[in-house]
Amino acid sequence: MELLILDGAMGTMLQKSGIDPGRWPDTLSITHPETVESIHRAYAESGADVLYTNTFGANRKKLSGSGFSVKDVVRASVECAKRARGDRNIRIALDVGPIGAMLEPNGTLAFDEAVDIFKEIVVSGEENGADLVVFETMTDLYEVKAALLAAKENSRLPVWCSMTFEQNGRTFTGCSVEAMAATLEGLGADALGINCSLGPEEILPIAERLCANTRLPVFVKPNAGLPDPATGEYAIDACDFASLLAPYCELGVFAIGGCCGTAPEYIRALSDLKDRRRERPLPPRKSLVCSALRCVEINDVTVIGERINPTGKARFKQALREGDIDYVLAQAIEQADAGASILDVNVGLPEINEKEMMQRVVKELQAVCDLPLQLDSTRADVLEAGLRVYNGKPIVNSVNAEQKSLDAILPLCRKYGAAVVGLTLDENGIPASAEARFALAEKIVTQAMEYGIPREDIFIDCLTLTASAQQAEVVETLRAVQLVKEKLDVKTVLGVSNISFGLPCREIINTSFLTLAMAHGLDLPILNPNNAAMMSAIDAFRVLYNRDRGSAEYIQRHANTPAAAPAGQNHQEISLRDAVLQGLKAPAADAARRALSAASPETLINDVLIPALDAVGNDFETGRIFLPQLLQSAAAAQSAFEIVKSALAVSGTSGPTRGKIVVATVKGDIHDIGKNIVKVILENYGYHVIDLGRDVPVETVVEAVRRYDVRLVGLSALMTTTLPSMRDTIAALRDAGLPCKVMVGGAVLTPSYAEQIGADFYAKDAKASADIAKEVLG
Amino acid sequence: MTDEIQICREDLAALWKGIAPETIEQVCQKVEAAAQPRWTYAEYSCGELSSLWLGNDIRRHLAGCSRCVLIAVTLGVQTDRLLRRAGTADVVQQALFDAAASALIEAWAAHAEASLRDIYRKRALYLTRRFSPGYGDFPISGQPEFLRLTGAEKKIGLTVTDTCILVPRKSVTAVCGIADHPVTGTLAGCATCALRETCKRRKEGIPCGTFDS
Repeated sequence: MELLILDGAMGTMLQKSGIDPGRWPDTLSITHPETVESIHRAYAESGADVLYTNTFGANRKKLSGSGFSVKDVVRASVECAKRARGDRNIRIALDVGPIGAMLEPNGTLAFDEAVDIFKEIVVSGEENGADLVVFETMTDLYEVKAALLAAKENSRLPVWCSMTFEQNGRTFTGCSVEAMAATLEGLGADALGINCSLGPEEILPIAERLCANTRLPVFVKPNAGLPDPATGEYAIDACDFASLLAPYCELGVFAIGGCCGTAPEYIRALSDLKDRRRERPLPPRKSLVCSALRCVEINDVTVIGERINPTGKARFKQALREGDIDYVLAQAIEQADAGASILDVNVGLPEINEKEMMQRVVKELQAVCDLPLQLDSTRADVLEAGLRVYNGKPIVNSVNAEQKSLDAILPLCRKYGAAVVGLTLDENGIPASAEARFALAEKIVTQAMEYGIPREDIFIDCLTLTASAQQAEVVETLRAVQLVKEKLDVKTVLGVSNISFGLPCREIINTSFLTLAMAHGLDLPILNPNNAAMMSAIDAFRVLYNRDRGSAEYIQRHANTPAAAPAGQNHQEISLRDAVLQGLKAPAADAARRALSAASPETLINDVLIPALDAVGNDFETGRIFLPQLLQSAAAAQSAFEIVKSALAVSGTSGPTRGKIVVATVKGDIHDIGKNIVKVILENYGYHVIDLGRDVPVETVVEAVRRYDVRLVGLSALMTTTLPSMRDTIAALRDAGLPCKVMVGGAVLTPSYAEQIGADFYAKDAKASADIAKEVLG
Repeated sequence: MTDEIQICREDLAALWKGIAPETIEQVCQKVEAAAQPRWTYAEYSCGELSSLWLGNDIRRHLAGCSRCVLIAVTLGVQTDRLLRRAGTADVVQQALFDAAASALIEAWAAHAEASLRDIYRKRALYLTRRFSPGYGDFPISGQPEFLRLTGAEKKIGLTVTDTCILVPRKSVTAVCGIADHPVTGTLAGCATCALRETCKRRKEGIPCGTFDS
């Protein structure tokens, strides 16, 4: 098969043409069309089969201020390429680069806005006659996902996706080649590539990895070597460039071209390689899920953490109701530290907006935790909301054998490239026998494959029944796992802990069942990774089944484990007051636990915690202690407060509250330490704080104040550029006629500016905000 | 680039009185391990960037320099992830990790500046101290232009929000004037500082707008 030759650099050629490309090089297609056209023509005459349009930065964010619209620039650019093509058999690729802003939550660009920005470009490109779309020089997998979705949802053009890597095989944002392949192949890219940043020599090993991990066609566009940092000159000439690209023919890439530093002579030199392309052997398929940062191949027992789920957890339910995302994140980090490989995410609670919550939790989780996620809901709309904003290749939990479920869930998995858990039940419930469950599994696998989901992305859950209620059927689950594994050749998943419901010492039953299930072929146990016995059972299984070679991992994990932890206190008992004064977290929590057996939560807060905090606050104000000590005391009080909260959640009461306060870092600002400190201090003083996070839109603040009937709002802004946003938020609250007071704080804020923008209070620090709260709410 | 740029433990400990030295050490190691420092620079004539020099302080700083070098430095987005992750533990961790990361980006900015000083010294040229958007009356609204002029988005993965905040969070842009004779430039004092009304350091009589050496 003939190698396809792509064109070379546009930017480099524009610079050479003597025209200052200025801030908006893409607009040269309008202002200097003959120059752009002549560059295209030079590439066409040098043998390029594909011309990339001069639209790399033609998005509405980058063009802002240029005086030209995306439509105009795209039209003019495609026209330049078309004229240069003449009647040659050349394809025109609509070239699309990064937006230039980081997506939330790292930056402030919303995922949906990114999709919309790309949509605008792609639609214009297709209208004007581009033959394909190429997203290139991408470093953020999340942004490529937005781009690819935009293209697939709004055009019929083939889409090529090319990312830029550093020599370690990761992009600036940490995305690996493997994660790129798994994610973009699932999302329906038509070809995958690597371009820019490095020369052909450096890209080769990365391209080899890409070829080993995708069944899609692969293309490369290296730079002309590495630039001299002082002069910006590239190191490799046209002749060397072509010889360095020869190994790519062996590798079996379908297209090659040049990026920065290349010119028409480089492309001409490539034409010698045209008939040297080898057929590429496609890599074997594997079961793999990923985040942008971490791939998890399911080729051994792989633990899915079950803790992000409100079922039966009063404190978790409370966190969801109050939008306390930090609590959810802490559950994720704890499970990651405990050894989970994948996290199940279920935020289903009747009284909350599950769809919104799923999106928020997925976005926040992927900003702190590298583990791939398993999106868990009974509702297709919730699953789609999560799938859309997930950065990587997730698992969907779940579909079942009911036709309605198959038709609703499987197309989503196909569209978003997710693996899927299939439950062996249907409208008639869970069949008793292993054979009947197998039949349902077979139906699910068949239909999933008909929908285009590959076998290795289908995981079957034969469903754990409770031993105390359906003892006879426990073994049917195990047999079903074995049947599915052997006859359908798919991965198996089971929620383990349900087995022991209603029995004492559940750990004994859970651990034994887990071991039996693994022996019957369980790949993906869903369990609580914080449970050492269960995790140890997996370690042991891997030794006994000769998977942990030489017992290396077992030894590493267990060689220094004491036989049994001695009972009793790890630290000296000290009073709650002293623990807070000294800023000791764990002792404060213990002291709160002890104190709760004798005193009510109200007494604890009013008679112990608040006086202790007042004492700390006074010491801070008079300069006897400094911010670190104040924060440590606040954190200690917080840990005590968390115990009180859990106790209250279990008892089902909302507990004592001195009033509700909304806090937020305003739109456009992403500094939240100050706001978070204020939140902790206010909570310590017994206020119910509704934390809206950072970069919070004006209308979200207004809506929260209205919905929760709040009388005090705390707004934070750190930068001169985000103060206007604070002013707008206050104005919107006033316009809405909401009877709330507003306190403001932040580094660049002054009392006079606070007054000027209509705030009721200026809080110079966290302590001051507590004083204001007391004045307003009592 | 060297990996030997470290957070100064003593400085951090002095700011964080009451935190155990081993805690400080652990935090510093985690921040240093997560950081993926990258920096880049580009030289221009001061004249062609006239639209960038807003405010008096930057003009005063570059006085007598016909050319300048723009610098962009970042610790990368993995540091942001670490900070968010640490922040879920409690506010102490959040603030401490943030402070450590700030110290590290400052150290890298100083390293970039020193490296450039060496490079230019070999050409018998001298650099002023570095001056960043946000110092004195030099507004941060110039950040997008800074990134364009240094090619920092493509070269080191540095971006800017609509509100001119750099992302990744722990990043610095700065400019040094270039001269054929020894120069220092003039750092902004308190007079035009955005924090002048509320600054504690100023009240305590130890303003930051003085050269440390």
